[in-house]
Amino acid sequence: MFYSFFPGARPLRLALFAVGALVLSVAPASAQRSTTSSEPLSERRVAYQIDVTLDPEARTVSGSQRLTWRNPGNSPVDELQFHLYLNAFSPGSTFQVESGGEHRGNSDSRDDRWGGITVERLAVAGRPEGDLGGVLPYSGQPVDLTPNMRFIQPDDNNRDDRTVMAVRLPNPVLPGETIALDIDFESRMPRVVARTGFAEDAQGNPFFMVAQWFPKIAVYEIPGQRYVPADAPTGQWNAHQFHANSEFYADFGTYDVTMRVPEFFVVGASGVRVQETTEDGIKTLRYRADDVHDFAWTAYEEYRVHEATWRHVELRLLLRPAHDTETQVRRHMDSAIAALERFDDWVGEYPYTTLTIVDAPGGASGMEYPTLITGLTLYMGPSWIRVAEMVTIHEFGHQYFYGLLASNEFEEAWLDEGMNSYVESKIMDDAYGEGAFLDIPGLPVSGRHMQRLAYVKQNPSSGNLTTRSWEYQFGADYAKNSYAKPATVMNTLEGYLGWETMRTFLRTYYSEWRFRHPTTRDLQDVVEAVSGQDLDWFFQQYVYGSAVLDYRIDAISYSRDRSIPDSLDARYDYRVVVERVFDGTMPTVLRLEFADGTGRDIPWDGKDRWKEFTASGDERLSAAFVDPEGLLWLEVDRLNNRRAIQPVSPGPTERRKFAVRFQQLALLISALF
Amino acid sequence: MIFTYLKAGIDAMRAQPWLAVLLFSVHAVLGYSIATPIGGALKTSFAASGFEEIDIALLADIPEALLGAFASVFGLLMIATLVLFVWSSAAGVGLPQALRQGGVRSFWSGVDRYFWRGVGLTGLFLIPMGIWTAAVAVLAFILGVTLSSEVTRFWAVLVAFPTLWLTGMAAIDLTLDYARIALVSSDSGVVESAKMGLRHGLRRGAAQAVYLVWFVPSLLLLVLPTELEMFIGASIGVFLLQQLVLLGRSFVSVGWIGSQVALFEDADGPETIAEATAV
Repeated sequence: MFYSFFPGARPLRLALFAVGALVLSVAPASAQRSTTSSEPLSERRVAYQIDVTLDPEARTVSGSQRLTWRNPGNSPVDELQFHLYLNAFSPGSTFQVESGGEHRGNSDSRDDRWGGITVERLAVAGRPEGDLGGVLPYSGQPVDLTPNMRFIQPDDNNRDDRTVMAVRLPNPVLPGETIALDIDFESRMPRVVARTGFAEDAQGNPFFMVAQWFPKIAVYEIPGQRYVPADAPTGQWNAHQFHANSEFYADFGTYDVTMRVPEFFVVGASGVRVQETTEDGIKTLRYRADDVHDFAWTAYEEYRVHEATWRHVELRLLLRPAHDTETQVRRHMDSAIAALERFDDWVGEYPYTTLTIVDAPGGASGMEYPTLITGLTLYMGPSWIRVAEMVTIHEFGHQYFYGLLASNEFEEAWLDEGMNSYVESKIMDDAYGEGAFLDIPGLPVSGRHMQRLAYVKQNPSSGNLTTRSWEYQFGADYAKNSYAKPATVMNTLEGYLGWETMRTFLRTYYSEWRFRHPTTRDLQDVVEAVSGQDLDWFFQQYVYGSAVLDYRIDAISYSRDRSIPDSLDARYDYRVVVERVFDGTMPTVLRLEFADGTGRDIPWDGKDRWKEFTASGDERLSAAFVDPEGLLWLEVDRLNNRRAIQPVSPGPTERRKFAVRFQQLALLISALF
Repeated sequence: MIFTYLKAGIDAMRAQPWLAVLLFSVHAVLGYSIATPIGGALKTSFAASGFEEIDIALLADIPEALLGAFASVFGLLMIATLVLFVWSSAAGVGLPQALRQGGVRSFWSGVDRYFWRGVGLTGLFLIPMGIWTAAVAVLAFILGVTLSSEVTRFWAVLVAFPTLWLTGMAAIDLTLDYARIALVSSDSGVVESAKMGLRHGLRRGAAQAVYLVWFVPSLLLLVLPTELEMFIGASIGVFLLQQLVLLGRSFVSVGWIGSQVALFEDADGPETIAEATAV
């Protein structure tokens, strides 16, 4: 049979070809790396080997994990702290108290909505044998630590919250030592309200988004790291509870995850699949993800799988059947590639070899995990509303700001969400043009305009970027100060520094801080170093503070210079008064526009509360315009930036258009009566 | 069969073109009367800026600049709606009067004789319109929240319910048309006319067919002026063309009522006609 496909070929060559083809067909799955590098890219303080089974009937993921953690500090550590995020979906948790069980419009009141994680056993593993390649093994003894487990509530003392667990060690982990723990656990998946859990489709098929699902060691910050003083005697655990308005923070390492699921499930996961076998109706999959700080996976019977390749990245799109159209595939793939290309150019290389895009329902949509994102797809969603594209680009952007830079999202959410929203809006506008978000004829809405409007029209003086996520009084303040305002702040900074400087800043920030958990201070240091400017005045106002920026032309006039004889060309004296309406300041430009269509720009530091500008020239003044190029994206009212000598009155064409609209309206109202 | 009534409608258009001109003129005057002050209020509030074109950033700023003007604009729109209610009630009885029995009576005699009962009839029909709208909205909301399938929800909430609402509104509107014709033809009271309208409008397939046939050109001619502007651009020529289209729509309105009057008279037989002649 084989030969029939290659008439005239020599048997030996064909045999070699057959062997080669066989090797190639197996090799990608077993030999593909999860990153572009054969060397570790991160410090790898943790390593997880997880082996679990999904029971769809019971909605549980249960099994064991070997967690290896290295003490990165210079002092002994006698307590370990863990996130048990899934316990947020238990009654009485801080998340439930703060959110009332509702997350971004998603809620569920059914009795089986609860979820949680039970740690059945936690023990120090035995000392590994053989050459450990310079790793210092834990000098303590193998011991069952289950009795030592206790829940702590570092943020709010809510005794019913069990999202952070502490375990006292019988012997401390010495500096540089590595401790291995064996943990048996069972995770019961909640109904999807906030990112993780299970749902049923219209046919009753179960969908699982398995995220924040395993006992996860917190970040032990050593002296000099983030805000821990360099001269502090010891490091400290940074473990916050799961809140309504906060996300995550973890250390980098390696994940080797084996999951068993019923064979009919289609699975998508972080990292690269290195093994897949099926036996007795059970599919066993093994994934490996290196230099990441989390691992998530999804299982659903009805996924339709689409694949594409961009340079070194294999893209895998898992669409639900209702969304499985050529248009949706193209919209997702095109936007993902648009993001890959621009992040590569503007920020830096995407070092992973896979990207899985999951079409997840309801509360699981629009979320990021290492090398796996969930999009937002609307059935019959019109192409002129680019929500699907925006969400895909946004969630991909998290691979950089959440994934690779990995700021502390509990404490400084804006460094992830806000910086990502800035780049996302720029990519949208670059890829899709003026109507990037809403392509309405005559009234296009760009990505950057969307971000700006979400800030300036929503109580702009309320809150600042560096408030800890759970301390915002209102969810809307968290959203504004984590997404829209920082994006607008960065667009304004770009207007001030110029795109080339901003691009250099992004690339430098990424190359210097990836895998290192940068802070706001670190970001400011980089942008100041790159621009060569002290930008504290800017950061104090718009990042640390809540200054509001608005300039208004208060008065405009001109008069003929009577000292010039009538026989000579006329000279005019101009006078423009600009008001700084609120407390925010930014250097800007006042443009004088003249009757002959020319203009003259006058730089202004923007500091005075009232500023009178006087000048003279040989043309009549027609208008004055603060920030004519629209670089001050933070400006809360752009309408008052310009003032004309002669107010514009509607022309005949405009009047006619208006009249016809109202004629139609009158006819329509008449028809109703 | 319905061709007879359609032809009667076209004949009515041809016989009394001034009715279409009257309808067109009233709406044009009303349109201009609203457009001028509202346009002026909107424009003067941001005219000082001198911006020639409005983008999304300016559009978002305008409401804040117009807070004062919006109150007067809203008031003006309310007054205009009231005027349109009154006019519709008047035209609703004036047109059947002018078109029935070969068009021997004047539009204004109908207004003079039946205006207040016409207003009452219009007011009465606002009740089922309101109830229907609220019922469909509530049902759509409940299903929108409870339906788990996105596909079913899409078709139910965005397709089926709007269609259902429009169908219901059309049925009420159709009934109102025949109620007005009945009012004028039989000189009965508001409630009795409403009952007759219900009987004629909903029980007879021809009535619904006539309604549908006239509905389509009426809708197209209402939308066409906007399309013309979008595809050709705004100019004095396009404006004149738009006015012609709107005049055409008024002719369609006359033809529509003409067909319905013919159908009513045909169905109701000589008793009503005799009674009406006596009136």
